[in-house]
Amino acid sequence: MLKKITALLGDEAKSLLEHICHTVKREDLHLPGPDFIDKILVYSDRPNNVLRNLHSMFDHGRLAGTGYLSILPVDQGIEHSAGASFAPNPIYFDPENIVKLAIEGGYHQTKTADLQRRLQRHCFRQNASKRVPAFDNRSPH
Amino acid sequence: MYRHLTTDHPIDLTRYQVVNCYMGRMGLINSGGDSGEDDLRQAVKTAVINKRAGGMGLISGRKAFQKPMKDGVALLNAIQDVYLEKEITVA
Repeated sequence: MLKKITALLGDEAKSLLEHICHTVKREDLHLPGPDFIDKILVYSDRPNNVLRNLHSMFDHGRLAGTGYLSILPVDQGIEHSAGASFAPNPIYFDPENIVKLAIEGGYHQTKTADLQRRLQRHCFRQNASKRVPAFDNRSPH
Repeated sequence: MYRHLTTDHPIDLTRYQVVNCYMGRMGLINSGGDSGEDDLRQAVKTAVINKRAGGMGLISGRKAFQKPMKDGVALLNAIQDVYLEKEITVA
């Protein structure tokens, strides 16, 4: 695995893989790890539901138990239009294919189920907002 | 100030971001950026920089879904490989 990564980085490999930070030392940092929630986040004012959701994010997928996260963002129709995001590969206009990419790509099912629910809610809102102007047009005001 | 807290090296610059996340108490997630010709190398490089700086991971969308699904999966797995590789340590 390291050989593949080193090969990909090419002539930057040495500088990126062997560099040591002398500005702020790693010993002074709180670093990600399997116990990050219990060591750091549990002492904040986050509600139990939030901590539980964080647990489920940290404990699934290929990076489960490492304390690291690999996230697939989908902001179709929220920050950008679907066209802006999916023109290079229009299959992703269908949200099920985003869910497939997330599963194939090593993300976890809780997150993808959550994504599906959000997409369903989002589709519902889009449909609802289409109906609202039509209703307003018919109103006497 | 910056002379003491960072250098021009991308890992030192990102370390300064981690320092500003309450010394790492809030995990630093770096974003993947837009999609281009050199996505796999760029994504792996960003992951190495984030991990070695003390960050918590990567959020990558356009680099993953603006290409055939097979290539998107390979790119996501390549990012995860950086975090799974024990020999890539925090700098």
